[in-house]
Amino acid sequence: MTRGLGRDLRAAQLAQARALPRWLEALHGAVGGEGTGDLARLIGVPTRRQVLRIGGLGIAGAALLAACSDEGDPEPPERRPGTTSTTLPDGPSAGPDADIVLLNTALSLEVLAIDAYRRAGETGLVGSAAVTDAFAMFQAHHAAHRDALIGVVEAAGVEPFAIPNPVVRVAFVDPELQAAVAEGDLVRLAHDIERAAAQTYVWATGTLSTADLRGRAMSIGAVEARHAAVLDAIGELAEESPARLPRTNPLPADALVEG
Amino acid sequence: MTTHPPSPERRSFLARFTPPGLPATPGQQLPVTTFAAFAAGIERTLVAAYDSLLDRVSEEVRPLLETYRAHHREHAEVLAGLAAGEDGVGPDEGLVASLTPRIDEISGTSDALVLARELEDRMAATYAHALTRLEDADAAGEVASVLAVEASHGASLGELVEDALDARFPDGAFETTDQSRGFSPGTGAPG
Repeated sequence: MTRGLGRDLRAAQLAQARALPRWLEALHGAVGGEGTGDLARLIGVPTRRQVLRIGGLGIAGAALLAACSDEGDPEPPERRPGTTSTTLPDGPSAGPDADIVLLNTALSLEVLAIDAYRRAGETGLVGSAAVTDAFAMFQAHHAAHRDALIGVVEAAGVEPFAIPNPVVRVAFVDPELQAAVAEGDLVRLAHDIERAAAQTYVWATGTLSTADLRGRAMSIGAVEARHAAVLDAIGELAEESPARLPRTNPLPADALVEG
Repeated sequence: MTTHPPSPERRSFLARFTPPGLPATPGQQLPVTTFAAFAAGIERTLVAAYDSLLDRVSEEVRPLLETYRAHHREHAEVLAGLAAGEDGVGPDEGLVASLTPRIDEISGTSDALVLARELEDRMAATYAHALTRLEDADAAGEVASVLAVEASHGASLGELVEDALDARFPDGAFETTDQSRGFSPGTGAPG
């Protein structure tokens, strides 16, 4: 990925979403209920597993995308007017407003990860000591990340968005958890969440407006990259090993959260 | 944002290996070209270190180390690009001098992997610290894309040397930003 292209992609992401307040109000109303299908229709999510774009592909790459299409996933519904998410101002260092979007989005991913590990444990599929220990440790790490991010967002005088990211949850985590039939499925899910989270921090680091925030972000993002590496080894996933984590946003614009 | 101190074993290594670097200067901005030139030199030293380590490991792990060496070569190129106009982006002579006797003492794959893991963790700390001071967000993004991979190298190598799980996270939930835990100018790099 060239730097110029990376900037273009970021600019495209930043230009995508206005009208967040109405979207957020709708999400706040929907999240917490059982109607994830309704929520998916509400937010106009893409087909499942296409949600996270790691290195330009769907979260688990082209193979999974092909598998999705084989499963007969429905076409994404029409997006309702006013249901797009937030936007970030243009430019690599966009200022305090963009900082809050990035930090609250990161916070929502941390809470999502905590929730995913909890629910993975409740499936009854986790049996090995290696996976049990890793899931417990990583969940605790994400709780520490959540608390740190809440502190930063609150210090800015903004309400922390401390709920699991609704878009990623509905479009990726929920279906993957429901489809899991073995421990390995959960390890791959956890890996993909960690890898996407790490990439999100890398992307955010190129946009956050102060060195302090950039340092804080990557002190978290680097650990999430470590999580992904450990899960890759435990699960013998043999994922591609790039020289650099892509600087592009792996999330759909809908997943960006404004405080 | 450090939550856990390093283990005694790690402290011992760091005490041996910490170069006489510059004092920590929290909050002071770090010019991109200065840091990039320094880091490119360290990356090129790591490429040379992997060259030597590859002669000392089993065939089983050689492909992984070759991959990591290629990563460091790419990182050096990226950083050298950011350091345009700066001199001294060759291997860091001070670090080479520190590493040479340790590499000479390596007798097998396990020792080689332990040293590689230590170098990766130290480089990750170097980048994590730099990010708290780099003045340019775009350059910081480039550094972050490298940091994430080198941190994952450290964790993967920890898996190979059968570190305990928590040892693959030297500072627990947060990557350390402590300058003294990374490489620092003073090992022969410009500074």
